[in-house]
Amino acid sequence: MATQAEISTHPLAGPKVLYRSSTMDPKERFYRHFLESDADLRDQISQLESLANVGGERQEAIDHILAGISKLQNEVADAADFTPSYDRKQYSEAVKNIQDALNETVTKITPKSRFQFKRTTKTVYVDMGAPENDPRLNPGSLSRKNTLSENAEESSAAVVEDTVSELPSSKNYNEELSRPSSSSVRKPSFSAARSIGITNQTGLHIILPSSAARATAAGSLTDLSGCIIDMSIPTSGGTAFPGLALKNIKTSLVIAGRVNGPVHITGVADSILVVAARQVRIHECKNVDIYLHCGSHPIIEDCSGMRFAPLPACYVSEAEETSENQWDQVDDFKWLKAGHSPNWSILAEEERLSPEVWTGIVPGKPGASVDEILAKVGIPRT
Amino acid sequence: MLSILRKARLKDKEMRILMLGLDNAGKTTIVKKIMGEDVNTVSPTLGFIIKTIDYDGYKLNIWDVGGQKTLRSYWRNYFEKTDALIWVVDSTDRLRIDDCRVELQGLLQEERLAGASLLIFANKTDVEGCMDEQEILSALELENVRTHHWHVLQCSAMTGRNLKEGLAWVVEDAKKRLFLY
Repeated sequence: MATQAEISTHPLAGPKVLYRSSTMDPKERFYRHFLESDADLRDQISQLESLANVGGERQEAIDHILAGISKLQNEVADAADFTPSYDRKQYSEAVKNIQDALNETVTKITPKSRFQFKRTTKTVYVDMGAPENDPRLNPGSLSRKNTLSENAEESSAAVVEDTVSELPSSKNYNEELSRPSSSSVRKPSFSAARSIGITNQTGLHIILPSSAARATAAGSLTDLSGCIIDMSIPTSGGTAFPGLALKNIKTSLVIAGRVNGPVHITGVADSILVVAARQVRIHECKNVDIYLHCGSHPIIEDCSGMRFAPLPACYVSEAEETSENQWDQVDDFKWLKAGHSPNWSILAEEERLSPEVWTGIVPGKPGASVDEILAKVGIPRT
Repeated sequence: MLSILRKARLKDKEMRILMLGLDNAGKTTIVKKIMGEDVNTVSPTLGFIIKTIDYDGYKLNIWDVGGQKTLRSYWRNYFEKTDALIWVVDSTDRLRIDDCRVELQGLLQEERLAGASLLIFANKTDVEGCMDEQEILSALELENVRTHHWHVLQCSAMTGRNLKEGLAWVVEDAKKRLFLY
């Protein structure tokens, strides 16, 4: 999508370079092509600084430049049979200069990281040469196959040194999501992603399409605030998540969909969650309403102000009907005394969101902002 | 003294196996699967569960202690006389693999666990996209572990893969060591 567009306008990405054409001396032709590529790469390097570091946008640009450099290198090698040795040497030196320039720029613009053992930035180059890592060979991404759960680190501040091994990581729809765009509807492709890892988003309404069904191999939602996330569509069919982690989520509405295994919820505050799972563990949460289907006893630990309600009818699928729902059998690890734990309660029926809210307001409609929807479902709690 | 005790227990052909790991690693589910019980209705463990398994003429007492944070401080109450430690890792949980390493390293410092065999069950390998053996090895820095005999097995409590093999390794390793005394 966006990546693809970027690539096809890139001068290097056209059909196999034509320097063997007979209309011009191949040496001359290659020389021109080389100059062009060289200037273009330098141009991109100089623009690096102006790109936002958050959300990994800059990282993508760096990836892109690296790929460009490696391609140029290959072309120099290919052209070896018609370039004199002196020229070859000049070419490789020029390539090296570009690399140095990139190195310098990257070092300059990377925020000082806290103390950490770092692999040297040099290793950044190693992977890019390999064809399977070359993003251009696969426009629109996707040969990159690591799961996205690492993106938590990837999109945080200290990017370059620390995430060397993840550079050729999988399609980063988090970037696509956070990229500013003129239209309010963005449709990053989830269809080829193998796992869902949404991280570091604010104020977005994300509805996973059914095409994301293949991507439900694993799921994680981390560092979100003021978001509405609905993952019920791809998971309500045959492909439930085998496991799901929710972490650091504030003032959001998360419809987590169906999980055929454990859900691990940590650090959620002032939010509403809808979860159907076999096991539920909740840690360090505050003021969260949970609409739950759980095949075993849900547990809470270091939580307060939790309210539990059964899964709304519109999200109940066959899988839930066959297993007993123990949503109200909550065990509190911080309350071993007899008597009811003060940390959780059952959400009174009249306070639960009505079916009309779930089917009418939650999916959103044109013109309704995320904030409006959140206010309508009562986030934050009044 | 310890060796005398050990010998006495060897005669009884009993072994004490301590099963630990972060919450949600699948400890109870592994035990249930080995015992042939239903694995779909397992609730998070509130305290601990003891199961006795007969294996190869040995009586294995498996102590499955809950992994929630609140319970971790009680783990040490179970260290005494442990012949083998089974550390269960959730291979799908990359977010907490560092916590997992820290907790494990803490355990390996324990004097009362010195000498226990260490089996690492990399659980949930039936899930696509989980960490492979190499990733687990390096994330847990196992190569640096010199204090214990250790062994990593990829397993799945849902399919039962490698569970019996794990017990076999534990028994073999503990046997070797006990006969040395």
